[in-house]
Amino acid sequence: MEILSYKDFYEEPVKKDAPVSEELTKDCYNVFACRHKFCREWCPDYVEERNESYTSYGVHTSTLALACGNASLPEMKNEFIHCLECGQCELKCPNTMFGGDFYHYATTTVDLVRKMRRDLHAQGIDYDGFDEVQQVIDEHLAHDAGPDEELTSWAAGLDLPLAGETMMFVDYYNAFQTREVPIAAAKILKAAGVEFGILKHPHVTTGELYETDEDKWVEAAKKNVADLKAAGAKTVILVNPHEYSYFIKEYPRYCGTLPFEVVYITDYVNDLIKADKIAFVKPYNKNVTYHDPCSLNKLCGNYQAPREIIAALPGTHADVEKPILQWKYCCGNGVSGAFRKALPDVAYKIGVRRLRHANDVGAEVLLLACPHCKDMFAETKTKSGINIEPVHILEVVAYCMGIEV
Amino acid sequence: MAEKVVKKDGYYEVEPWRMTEYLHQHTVNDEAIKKMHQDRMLYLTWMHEQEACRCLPGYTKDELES
Repeated sequence: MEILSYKDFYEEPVKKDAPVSEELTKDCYNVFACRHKFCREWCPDYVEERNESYTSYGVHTSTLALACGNASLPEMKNEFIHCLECGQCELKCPNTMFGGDFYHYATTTVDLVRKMRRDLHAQGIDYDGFDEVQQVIDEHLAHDAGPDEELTSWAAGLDLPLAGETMMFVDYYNAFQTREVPIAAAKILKAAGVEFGILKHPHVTTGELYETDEDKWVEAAKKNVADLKAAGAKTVILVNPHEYSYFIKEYPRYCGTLPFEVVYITDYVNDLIKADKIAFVKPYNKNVTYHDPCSLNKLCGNYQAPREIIAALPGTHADVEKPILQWKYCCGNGVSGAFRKALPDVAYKIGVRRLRHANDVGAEVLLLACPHCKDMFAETKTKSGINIEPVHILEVVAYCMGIEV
Repeated sequence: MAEKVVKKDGYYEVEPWRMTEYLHQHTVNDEAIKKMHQDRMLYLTWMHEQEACRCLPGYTKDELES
């Protein structure tokens, strides 16, 4: 599955002393002319900050202000960092939801935000807090330039081949910060009898780099696709929904149609459960609810498999909110991670609101399908003292299978 | 406008030539269109459920006759 919805004219950079292109101006008018403000109602950032400048409407209006000469680029330095890139605004925008399929012209706020952050950075205008984001980018680029063994050290002892028709792509975040997630995924697949391999040297995929140095990110994307193809991949399993969204929404844009099928781990595990290849031996006697990762639910429209997995878990009492009601939620991390680094206080407030909602349905455990959500909620739980445990859904599947992670 | 549309997979779409003067159609593939349909149905179904449960019940026959 490849979801492509992008505008070529976003490629033309917005510069300090050059007029904004006519097409971008018209594009921004399309949102500026709207009075529905559906984008605003459920924007997790707007709910906390109550500042309309940071909604989709505000982002387009700011860009329009540049086009009309009412604002200058340096004034915009902190305008575009307040977006989580969760995609709620663009899918709920009437231009997308009610007219996008008809006109083949939709609102693409996430792309616009990434473009503007990139254009500002290219001209030396960085938002407050960018240093921390640059640190993450440098770390990930150092991993990319580092030895192969480091990148696959999470898989030590798992005895995974470096080629195969089914490949599991493990990004740097999972490989270094939330190792329990790829380890659980690998152990589940092995126990289900799936033969799969991992890349010897996966290249950088971090979203912070994508919205800072597109060329470098695209170069790494092309290498990833070429390496996966060379490894004989026909199916590539992703264990991070952010990377899943890049693989199905961004990679085809730069690399053409991918020579393999891209599947998210929860879809793969759900298929194994349905095919009776996964046997549960232990109950998970907890009251749980589930948080849809923005990148999976909002950006990719993928929400069914985690719900079916939860329904199949023995002993689990689940109260899971509808996917549409979760359009208004985010853990606070954001899809690129720059938001959390630059605005930790707002990210925390967004996380607290979500944890409280989970508490309201009487859950002891908040199940997740994203390593970034797990990290963010773990921090929020510790700081706030809200008594609910964030747990990755793969860890629960592994537990019920009697696998130690 | 109504006579200037095409029907694809059960949904109406504008004839592409009508989108060449002011706004130009951008790259939107079939999967992205399907996602818009899916999101719209989710939203409209939810709205319908929300509004339907908030609707006041109509008069009963007895109330109308009294």
